[in-house]
Amino acid sequence: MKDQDVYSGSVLLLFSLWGVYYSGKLPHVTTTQLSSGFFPTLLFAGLGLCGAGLIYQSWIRQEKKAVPGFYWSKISSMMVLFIIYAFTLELLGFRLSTAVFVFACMFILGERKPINLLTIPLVTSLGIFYLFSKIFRIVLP
Amino acid sequence: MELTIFNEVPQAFLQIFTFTNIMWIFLGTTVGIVFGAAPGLTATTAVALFTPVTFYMPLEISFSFLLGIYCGGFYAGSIPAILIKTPGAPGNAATVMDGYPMARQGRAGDALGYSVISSWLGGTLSAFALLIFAPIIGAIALKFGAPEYFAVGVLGLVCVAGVSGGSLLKGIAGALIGMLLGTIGMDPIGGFPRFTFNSIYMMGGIALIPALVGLFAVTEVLAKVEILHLDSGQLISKVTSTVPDLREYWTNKWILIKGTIIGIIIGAIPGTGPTIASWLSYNEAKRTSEHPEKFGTGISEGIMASESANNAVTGGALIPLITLGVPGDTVTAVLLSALMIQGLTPGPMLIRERFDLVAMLLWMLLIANVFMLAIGLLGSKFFPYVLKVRWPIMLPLVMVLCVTGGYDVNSSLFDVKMLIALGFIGFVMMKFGFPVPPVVLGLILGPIIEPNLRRALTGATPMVFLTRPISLIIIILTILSVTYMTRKMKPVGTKTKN
Repeated sequence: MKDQDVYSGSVLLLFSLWGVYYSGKLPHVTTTQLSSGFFPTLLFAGLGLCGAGLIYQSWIRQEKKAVPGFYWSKISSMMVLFIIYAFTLELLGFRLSTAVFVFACMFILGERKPINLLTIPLVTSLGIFYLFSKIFRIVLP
Repeated sequence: MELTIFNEVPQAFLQIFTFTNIMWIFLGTTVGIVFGAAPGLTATTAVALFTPVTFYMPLEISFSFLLGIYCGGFYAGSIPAILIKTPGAPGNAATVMDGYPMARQGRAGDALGYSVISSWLGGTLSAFALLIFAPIIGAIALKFGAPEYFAVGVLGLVCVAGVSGGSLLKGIAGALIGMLLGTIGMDPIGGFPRFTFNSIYMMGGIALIPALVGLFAVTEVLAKVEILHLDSGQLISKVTSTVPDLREYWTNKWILIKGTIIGIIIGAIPGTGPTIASWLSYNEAKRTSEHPEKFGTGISEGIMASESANNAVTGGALIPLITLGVPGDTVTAVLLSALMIQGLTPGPMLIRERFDLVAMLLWMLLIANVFMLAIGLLGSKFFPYVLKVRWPIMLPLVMVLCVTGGYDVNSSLFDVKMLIALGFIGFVMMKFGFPVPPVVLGLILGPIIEPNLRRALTGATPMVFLTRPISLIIIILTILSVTYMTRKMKPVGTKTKN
C-alpha cells in the first residue's frame, strides 16, 4: 500500500526545489541588506526538509497511512458552483446570483422539499442583501 | 499603572454600557452559541465569517460583537459534546469524557449547567487576568527589539505547529506554507514584488480576511459536504433540569480555580489554545482526585475541570495578542485582523497609548460571559433543536456568508477567488493530515518575523539572537518545546531495534 506521506513529502520537495530556484533570482536591495529572496529561500529550504522528513518517516514506518479518498462528485460540484457564483456575482448582481447559488447548492446537497427549494434561496439572498446593505452599510454588487 | 487602571476601568464601563453595545454583545453571544453548538462549525469559523462585517463599525461595536461570538462559541462546543458525544470544537473534547455519560444517566440538564457555570467562571476570571497581566507583559515587551520579536514569532509558530495535529513535521510544514503565503506581494524592506507573477492583484499580497475565511470556513464547509451522506442523525439526550446544586461548586472550588489558572497560562502562550488547556486541567483534576476511578463515568468534576480551563483561554489568549501582536490561538488570530482593520496595531505601544482598549475588552468579556451564562441556563432546553440543524440548508448559507465576507473588505472579486482557492488548498491539506491553524498563524506571523529577522541580521551575525538575554530565553524555550514535542509525537509503528 502507498503511504500518503510519500505523496505529500514528494510534493513539498518538488515545491521547495522550484521555490529555492525562484527565490534565488530575486534581486538584492543594497550590498548591506539581505536580499528579497533571503527569507523565502529559508522557508522553501525548510519546506524541503519537512518533505524529506515525511518521506523518511513513511519509509521507516511499518504501518502505512492510506492515501485519503475524496468524495469527488460532491466536492467538485460544490467547487464548480462556488467558482460560477464568484464569477456571476458582479455580472448578475448579488441577489439573483445568490438565489441561484443557494438553490443549486441545496439541490446538490440533497434538499428535495419544493417549498424549501423555493423560499430559502429567495429569503437568503434578499435577507443577506438587506442585512449587509442597510444594517452593516456594506455595498454588495 | 495602578492609577491608569483605576481611572480607565470606570470610564470604559460608561463607554461600553450603552444599549447599542449591550445588544451587539448579546447578538454576538447568541451567534457564537449557535455556531459553537452546531457540530462542524466552530467559534473560529463564526469570528472569521463575521469579522468582515465589522469593517465599517466603530471599534466598541465591532469588538462587542466579536468578543460575544468568541465567548459564546467557546462555551457552546460543550453542548454537542454533552448531548451527542461530538465536541463542537477540539477544546471541548475533554468534556465528552464525563458530560456524555452524565447525559446518558438522564442528567443532561445538570451536565449543561455544570458546563455553563464553569465556563462563566473561567471566562470571567480570565478577563481580570487580561486587565492585570497585559500592562505587565506590555512593559516587558517595550524592551523588545527585532531579535526578540523574531524569537517570539518563531516560538508561537513552533507551539501551534506542535499542538494542532498528530505530526510535528506536518505542523511545521503548514506554518512554513503560511509564511510563504505571507511573502507574496511587495517585499516589506526592499520594495520588490515577490511571487506576484506579474499580476497587479497580487502586488498587495494576500488579503488577510479572505484568506482566514477561506482557510477556516470554506475548508470546514467542504469537509462537512464530504461527510454529509454519512450523517444519519444521532441520538440526542433530552434536557430536563437546568440548574445544578450550587454547593457542588463550593466542594470543587479548587478544581475550578486550578482549571482557570491552567486555562489562562496556556491561553497566554502564543500559538497554543483551549485543547491543551482543557486536557491538562482534566488530567490534573483526575490526578489530584480522591476518586480518580470515577472520572469518565459522568461526574461533575470532569466537566468543571475541562470547561473552566477551556473558557479561561479567552482572556488568556488576548494577553499576547494585545501586548505583543502575537495571537494566543486561532480565534485571536482572526481578532488580530479585526483590530488591524480598525487601524490599530497590537503591541506594547498599544497598551501604553490605548489602555482604555484593554479596559473596554474587560467589560465586553464580562458582559458576554453574563449573557453566555443566562442563555446557557435559560435556553438549554432548546439546545437539542440547534443540534438538529439541516445541513443542506445551513451549508449554502455559510458559503454565501463566506463569499460576502471575502468580497466586502476590498470590494474585490479577486479576494473571493483567492478565498475559494485557499479553502480548497486547506481542504486537501487537511485530508492529507496537515493542520490548517499553523498555515493561518504563519500567514499572520510571517510578515512580523521576516522584517525583524532581516533587521536583526543587517550588520550583525546570527549570534545577535543569543547575546540578548530575552531573545536567548525565548530561543531556549523554543528549543525545549521542539524537543518535548518531538519526543511526544514519535511516529507510531516506527521500526525499533530489538
